[in-house]
Amino acid sequence: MKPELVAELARKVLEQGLSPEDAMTQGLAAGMRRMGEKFTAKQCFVPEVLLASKAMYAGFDILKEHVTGPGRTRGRVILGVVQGDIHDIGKNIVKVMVQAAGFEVIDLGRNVPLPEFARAVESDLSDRSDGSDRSLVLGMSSLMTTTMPRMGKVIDLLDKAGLRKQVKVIVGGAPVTTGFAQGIGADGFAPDAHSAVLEIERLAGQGSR
Amino acid sequence: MFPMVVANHAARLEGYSISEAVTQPDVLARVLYSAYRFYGYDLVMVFSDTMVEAEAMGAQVLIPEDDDPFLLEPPRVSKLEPANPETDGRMPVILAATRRLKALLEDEVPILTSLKGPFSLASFLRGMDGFLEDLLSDPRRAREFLRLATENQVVYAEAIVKAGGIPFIGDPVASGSLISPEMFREFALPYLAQLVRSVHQRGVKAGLHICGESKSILRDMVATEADFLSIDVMDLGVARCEVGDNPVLMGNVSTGLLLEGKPDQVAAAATECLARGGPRLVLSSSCDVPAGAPKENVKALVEAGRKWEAA
Repeated sequence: MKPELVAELARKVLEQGLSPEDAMTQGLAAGMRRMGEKFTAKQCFVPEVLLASKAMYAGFDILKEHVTGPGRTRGRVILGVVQGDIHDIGKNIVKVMVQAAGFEVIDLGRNVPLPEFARAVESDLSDRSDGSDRSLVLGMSSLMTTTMPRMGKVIDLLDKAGLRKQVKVIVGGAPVTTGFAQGIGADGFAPDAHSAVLEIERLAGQGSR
Repeated sequence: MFPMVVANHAARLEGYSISEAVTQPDVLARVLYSAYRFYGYDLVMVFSDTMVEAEAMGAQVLIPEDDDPFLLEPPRVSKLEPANPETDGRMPVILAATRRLKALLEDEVPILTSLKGPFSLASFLRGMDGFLEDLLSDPRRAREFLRLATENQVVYAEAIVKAGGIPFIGDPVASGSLISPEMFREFALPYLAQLVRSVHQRGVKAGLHICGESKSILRDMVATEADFLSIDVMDLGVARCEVGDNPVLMGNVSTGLLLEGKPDQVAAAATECLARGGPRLVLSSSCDVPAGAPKENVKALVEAGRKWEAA
């Protein structure tokens, strides 16, 4: 569906006094989940998912300001593509799927310097003055064999900063394998976007829907 | 046989940084030549990185000290123009290295010189996400970029042929892992076929490599009329059944295995490829050999190929 059309429908939701939160979870996110399933089943591909996610965000942007009360987040996920690697299509697809599954995402982008991952984890953990104990997952990806080992370096940095135990780490990207993930001490691994959501749900200790 | 050893792995092997190899024609030619002598395979490939043409057309590319160059920003000009391969960006580096290798090797082994497929180049010129979205929401705009990219590559391929190279088209974004077979047929195939035709008109063969899942687009890869097809992820026995006896296939020992496996595992995978790919197979890696792949693993691939030939 076209982003403009979704934006129009989102405005209609507000005009008619429907619940923006329901429209987000049962409308936009549910649609995005279906795209995710189709993507996994190879019934649609990256261009279709990119366009669908654009449509989802067009709706989200209009609706989110009208959600009252505390948002029902299932946890926070920090995502980024490690330094030296600018292949972020996979990460962007994971991002939209994870958001559709009800997580809050902090997107560090692509070509992210390694200390920035640790800083993002640290700042999220120190920002818990509200007593929140929401779960925190760090997701890193690399699509190049040359940049893959850097994900291990980030885990080392977390270790040195004494943050490693407070965050679950998941890694992914085309050349990444379970063996590699275990080797660098990650908690989880996912070969595709759909599995990434399931794995993040598992790591966040919330099971799957 | 030919494990796809290119600038990054060859540079490491010879003690140069990757940035030296991808910017200096004499270094590029020297490391590729030395790696060829060291491993003793049957082809040489002149390939530095995927960004050469996009950079020559105005894209901002970062060349790290010892890693593969990557795209920072697509070109920001009001009107994009095809590049001049003799003067713009690092296209002259690739051409000079090709000429140098041709002078060194003469007809000892073929020299493949890599260039990008129009689909991938168009995606770098437009920005990848935007380009993939355009395919659905603004196909006319996508086609404008594709036509421009094709125009550029036809000229570049001609320069490669003149320098003594065989054009080897890599089209990593037109991947079966990223786009549907229908989209490949509509937006990748016609422009690839046009590029291959232009090479054939000069009486030279052309190769094609597409990264990722290959099964869904294999028949369309054949339809480009490229003379040899390099397969990334697909069982070569199935591929051979699909394409028939005639097309030359290249492939496809996993690059992950080359990086992390043991030599005996590489040898076993190579032998399996040879057994399944049929007689018209160039034993190769599934994509370029990682910079950090141990030399013992690359050697194991070459030795497995030699053993098979001798048997």
